[in-house]
Amino acid sequence: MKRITATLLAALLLTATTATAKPGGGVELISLAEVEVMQKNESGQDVLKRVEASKTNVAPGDTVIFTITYVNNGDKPATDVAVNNPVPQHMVYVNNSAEGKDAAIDFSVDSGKTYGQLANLKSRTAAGKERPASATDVTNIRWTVKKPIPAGTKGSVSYKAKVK
Amino acid sequence: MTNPVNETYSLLEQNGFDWQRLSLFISALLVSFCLMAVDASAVGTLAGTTINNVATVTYNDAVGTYTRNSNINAFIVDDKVSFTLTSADAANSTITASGRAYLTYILANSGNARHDFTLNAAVTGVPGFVPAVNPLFYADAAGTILLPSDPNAGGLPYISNLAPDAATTVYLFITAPATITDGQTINYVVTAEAWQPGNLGVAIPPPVKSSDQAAADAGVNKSTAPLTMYVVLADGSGNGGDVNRDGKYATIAKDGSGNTIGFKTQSATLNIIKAVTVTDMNGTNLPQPNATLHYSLTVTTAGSGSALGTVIADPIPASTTYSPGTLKLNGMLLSDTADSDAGDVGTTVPGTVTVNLGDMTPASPAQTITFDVRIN
Repeated sequence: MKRITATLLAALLLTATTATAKPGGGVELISLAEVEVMQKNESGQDVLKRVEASKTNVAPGDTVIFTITYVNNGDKPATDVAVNNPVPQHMVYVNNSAEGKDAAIDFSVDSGKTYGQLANLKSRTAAGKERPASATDVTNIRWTVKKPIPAGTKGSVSYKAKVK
Repeated sequence: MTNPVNETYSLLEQNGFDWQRLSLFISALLVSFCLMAVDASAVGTLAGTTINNVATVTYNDAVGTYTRNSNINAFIVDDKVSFTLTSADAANSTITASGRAYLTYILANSGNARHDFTLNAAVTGVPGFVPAVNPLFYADAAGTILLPSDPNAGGLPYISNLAPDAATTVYLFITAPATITDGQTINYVVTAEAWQPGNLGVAIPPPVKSSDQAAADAGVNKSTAPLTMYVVLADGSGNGGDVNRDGKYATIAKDGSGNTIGFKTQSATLNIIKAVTVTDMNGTNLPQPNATLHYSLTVTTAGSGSALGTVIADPIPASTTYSPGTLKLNGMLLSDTADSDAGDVGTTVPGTVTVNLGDMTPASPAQTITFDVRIN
């Protein structure tokens, strides 16, 4: 039973990822989670400052800014660069918050099976009826970088999500 | 907690497939579905939950196509203290002399962690009477299960380990003094205060207020203590004068029109007006032997309460004799013997007219008892 399920899953994964991981070098991704907190600056004024989420308070309802930086550490330009970020468990995507310079942004509401513009995606109600998808349905965000990334350069994409 | 996201991407990193890891992954997926089912009903993500973010990049270079994961970025969800205390009453709770009465409150934990809560009742406004037994909190409307109290929390009664999304009903009882005046009130402001869970009623460790823990946590240099769950106050304020984010919720019961309600005494006073008319054989009104005395007793109640089981007993005056067959209640003849009707003469109490009026409520009309006697 377990074996059969595993085989099915393996088949799915194989079709999804014909690519192989590169042992070293190449494009590296760095994920950063931050929240904006009010802090006093040197002149005693309240200013919003970004602080790493792991090093400050994060509670349900708080918005976290995720920044994913890609760095081409290889010696060749990287093409067809696509960054895929599943919205973490316990979090919900904040509408219109995904950003990325020179990148096409697509969304998935079915855990990455299909991607498209959020306005064109469909989701289902609890009763199983089809309805237009909303930001809260987003399961994955995908940035497709339109230009090759030259060796030794970097860029970043970002999105915001709220703790449920 | 196993994180399925991590498992997914660590699988993708591998060149080949490891069947054992795959089945682990499947179990992790099943676990995650169960967890999601629990979370769906919660107010928020449970305190202490680790949230992980992992992104994946795919790209080509001149050699091939590659897939790579980012670092796993993790943070911990804090304990967000949020709760309310609401009154469930729409009107004053009536209390009679030496009687007990209660007000009902609902304590609801709208935060994402378990907490203990102490309860305190203080008189608000000018009380109209002093209870014989001051406020006590019970877990039941019958007033038999007294909430435990903690000496380390000033002897206050408490609710232990109230789960996120859970609510509990508490009952505030007082006992009225033996002597009361009708229509007097006493009102209370009831305050619930959050404590860190599982500490109240336990000798060691000593209980810690959530507000104290939050204050201590606010002073922690969090950059040196990553991935720690902290306590943050997010409680609102009730109508009883507390403020937002103070770990307290104070409530004064109000009726639908916004008037303060509480306990209100209810008593009844019986008023009896006795009148007599004399008729003698000469047609005059002289009280001489053989003259007839026509007695009329009019019974009314005053006050918002009821006089339960009211019995009127009126002795036949000395030197007179009851005229048989003249006892009437509201104009209806009552037999002189003790039977199914409301009155008798001389049976219940010798030499006395006795009429049982039953329960006299504020709505009861005046009751008129009449009977005749003859002067010997």
